[in-house]
Amino acid sequence: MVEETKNQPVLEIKNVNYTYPGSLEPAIYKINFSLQPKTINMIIGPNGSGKSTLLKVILGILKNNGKISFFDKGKNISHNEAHIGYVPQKSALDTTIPVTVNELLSLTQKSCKRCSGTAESEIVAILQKVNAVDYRYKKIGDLSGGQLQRVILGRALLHHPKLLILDEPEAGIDIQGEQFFYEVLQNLVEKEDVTALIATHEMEVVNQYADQVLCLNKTLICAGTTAKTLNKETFEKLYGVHTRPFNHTHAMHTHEGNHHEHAH
Amino acid sequence: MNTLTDLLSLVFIQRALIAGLLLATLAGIVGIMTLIRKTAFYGDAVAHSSLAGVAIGLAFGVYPLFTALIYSVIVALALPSLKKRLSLSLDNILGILLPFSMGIGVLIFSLLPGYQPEMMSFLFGNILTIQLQEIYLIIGIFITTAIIFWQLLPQMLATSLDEEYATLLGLNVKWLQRLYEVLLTIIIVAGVKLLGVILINALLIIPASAAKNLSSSLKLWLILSPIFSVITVLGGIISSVLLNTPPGATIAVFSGVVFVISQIYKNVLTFVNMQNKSISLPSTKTVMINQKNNDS
Repeated sequence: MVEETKNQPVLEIKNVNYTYPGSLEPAIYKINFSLQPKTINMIIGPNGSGKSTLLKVILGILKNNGKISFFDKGKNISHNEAHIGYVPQKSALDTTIPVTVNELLSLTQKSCKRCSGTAESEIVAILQKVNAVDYRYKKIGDLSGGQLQRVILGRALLHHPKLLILDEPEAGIDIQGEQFFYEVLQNLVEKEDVTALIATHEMEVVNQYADQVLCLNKTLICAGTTAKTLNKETFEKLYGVHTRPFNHTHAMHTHEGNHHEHAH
Repeated sequence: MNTLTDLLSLVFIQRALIAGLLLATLAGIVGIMTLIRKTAFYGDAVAHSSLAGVAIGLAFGVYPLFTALIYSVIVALALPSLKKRLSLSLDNILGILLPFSMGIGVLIFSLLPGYQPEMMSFLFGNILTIQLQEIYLIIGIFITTAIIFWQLLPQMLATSLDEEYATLLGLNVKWLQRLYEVLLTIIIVAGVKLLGVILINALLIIPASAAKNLSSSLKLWLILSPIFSVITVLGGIISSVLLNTPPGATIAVFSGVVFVISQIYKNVLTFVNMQNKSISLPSTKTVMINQKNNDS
């Protein structure tokens, strides 16, 4: 099924640059890549490499002069038609606000022009997809980091997105929560016709789940499968001379050097 | 009992209660958005700025609340552009505008001939001097705001909760933000006679904070906040008449007491819940004994 749709990308990026107002240096420049449908794509790079900037440019939050094209089964579609779902790096939600999971999703549903309906059953169905239906009437402040992040993922699914953009979704989640989150995400990509683009620092996650790795340090240094990209040369270009990835074939940590080992 | 019945039969008390009831209900809902957006200082700055508008009105013989409303709405709408042009934070600009506008107000008052009792009334409020036309104005504001909330409350709350995400939802975030700011300004200016420019922010912040303490959901918060606000205002007005104290200050103190009670209740509830949890969990010793038995 995946093979049939190969070479018909869901997203194509050509010569994208962005410079923040007042800054002399570009945050990102000459970015070119494409995403195949139903794949998990991960952007890696050190802090300040432009990962979040690139995601915000794709989301349309930051305007740029490059070309960003969205496709649905080979047909060029507009940014609005692309129904992008977004899971931010650190949710702007104030967890001291007494809002329940159900209310958060219901407010999104009522405010979303692109959501299909306002049915309670849809909220339940989406919470089931992200394994969060048990917390439906819990306050967001009473959830663990992992539980909240799955709820935020559920909120992004209300758009019925073809493309899901996630900015370091594992931030603030324990290892168990992180694993569970990515299992849920992988399941969505496989069953729901979703393509995911994720900025991350977690090399174990990249090794385990990525179909395509995009190495970013203001410009794209490499792009390809984990086998092709997670190597010493790439890591030296990205993080410095004393870094090396763990041996992903055996899923073991074989770090050398004293810093940037985990790319944290 | 007779005293209370006698009080309620007085026309100025009836007007005070009607004005208080309507404004408190609105303030209870807008106060929730103020707390979510963390813009308590914004309300304070707009309220203090309105004193300049009041003074301009009195100097030119125009109805002062009208000029206060115009002045404050202009200030509220100019803030985003000032923030952008001056490259200053909102707090910083408000910190400049608040004393500047209030200073203008006091200066104009000082230039007006004779003693100005109105100044104290607008500084600390005097709900018992509310006129019939002001009641009509407040009813108009209440109906307009209620219609806006009926139509746009989910969108306004979604924008307040997460502005960036609201942009992605396709909402006109800037417009919704301006709408909130204008509504907040109108409610504040309409409430200036109730509590005065110095104390009006108490009506926005304190009942909503007390209600937040007891709310397990947004829905409950939206119900409790206006109720607490109304209790605060009506309780404050009646207490001020019975105790012969300034109404604005009495309402502010009354709301503070309501908040303290809610905080104590919340703390007790949290303590009891923790106790219950620790009772239901097996102790470390029990777990170790069970483990030992299983091992053997």
